[in-house]
Amino acid sequence: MAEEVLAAVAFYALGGMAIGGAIGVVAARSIFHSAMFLVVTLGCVAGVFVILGADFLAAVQVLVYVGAIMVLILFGIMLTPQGDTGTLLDGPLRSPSALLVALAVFVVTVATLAGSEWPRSVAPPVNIPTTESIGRGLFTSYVLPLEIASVLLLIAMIGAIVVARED
Amino acid sequence: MSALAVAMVTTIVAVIVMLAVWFERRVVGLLQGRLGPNRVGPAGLLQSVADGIKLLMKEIIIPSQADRVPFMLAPLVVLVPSLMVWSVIPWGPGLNVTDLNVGVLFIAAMGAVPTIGVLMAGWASGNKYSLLGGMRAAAQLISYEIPMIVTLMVPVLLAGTMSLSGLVEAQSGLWFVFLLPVGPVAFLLFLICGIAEVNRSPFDLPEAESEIVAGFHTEYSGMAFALFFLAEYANSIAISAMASLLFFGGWLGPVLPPFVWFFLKTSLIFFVIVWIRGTLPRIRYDQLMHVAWKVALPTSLVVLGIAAVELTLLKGLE
Repeated sequence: MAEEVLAAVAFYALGGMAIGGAIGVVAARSIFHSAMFLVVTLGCVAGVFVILGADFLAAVQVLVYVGAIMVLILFGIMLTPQGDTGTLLDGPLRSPSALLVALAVFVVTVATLAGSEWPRSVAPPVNIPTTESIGRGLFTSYVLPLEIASVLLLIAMIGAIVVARED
Repeated sequence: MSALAVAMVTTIVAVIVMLAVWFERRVVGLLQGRLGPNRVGPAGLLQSVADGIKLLMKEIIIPSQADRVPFMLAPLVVLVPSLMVWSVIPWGPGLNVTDLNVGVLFIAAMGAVPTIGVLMAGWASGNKYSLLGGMRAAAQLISYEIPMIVTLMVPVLLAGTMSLSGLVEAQSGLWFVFLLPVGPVAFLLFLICGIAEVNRSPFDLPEAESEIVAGFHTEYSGMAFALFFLAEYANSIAISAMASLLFFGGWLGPVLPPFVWFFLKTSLIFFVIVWIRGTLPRIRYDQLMHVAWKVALPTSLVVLGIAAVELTLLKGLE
């Protein structure tokens, strides 16, 4: 019982921090602060994975998202000039079009959330190693998506090299 | 119980860091034909305590152009993961805070987080040398992380587990470093990448004094600086501990109690790291990238492939 309460408290604390971080990402004035808030959000998601007993996923979440992707984002921020972060788009249609896009995203998100069933499991999270089942899954049932994802990443990498080459 | 264990591990790591700083200064002194610190306490043992007190008393100066909140958070973002690594390192059978079954992956993940802190420090200081140091550190950590994780997978593959205790127990027959042909190569690669990961000489470009003052921690003083310093040594010792756990059988050994063996092996590897620091000059930036992408990464992939083939053949023989 005490463990369940603890897990619930931890879940709501982490979830709240993740949402707070996400709000910070869009609300922050400086793009560097936005990136910092994104680190908070991604870290809290890793914490939620821990509560759910997905230890492998949590470690990979930190390793890939915090350790690699966020570092690359910060790197990009530092390598690009920051002085002029004024408006990219100007004109009378700017605010209405922004509102339209925001509303569309909001409607689609709400519709998806309202239409989902949210299956709830009463069983406690199983405390078994997940690494082997993830590995087996990736190389048997999900081998095609895995290969497609790796080819996609390869294309992105080659594209980046071609774009960055000077000659 | 677990809170007590965490407090104990933190204290022990702090004490070990103090001893390690003293050890390093004495050894580098000997290597360079100097005395090293030998005045404070017996053989200079209390030098680190004196330095620690000095850093505690000093003022933490925040530059006027600094971004205050990230500036003060950065040392913590660097230190906390470095201490968390120690919660999964087993000093002997059962002598750890927790035995995660993804222990190796956890350590790799915790090794990746301080990069964010270093970039925060570099950016928030509002100083060009700090920024350059932060960028160098990030580029270096990203480059060496990949071969390091691939190399970590070699012992994991051989043992069939990512739990650190499981890895040590899998070496009761033969230490992985002696498993030809992959063992020695994998160990050397791990050591090289590990030294690069903790920004130590000859890979100390992020804090090269002659080029960019002190890199990302140029603007830090007092305890804020001490936290970076603590994290760097905690990481160096963690790399030594990892090497002894993954390749030298951790606590395994005859006669002496297990934790003594673990301590001896870790100290020996730490000595090698200090020895390298005292001997080799700092490498150039292009050499750093050359080693990471054109030497370490291909070699680590080949070693992993050979280890997989070897494992399959050994399984076939049984």
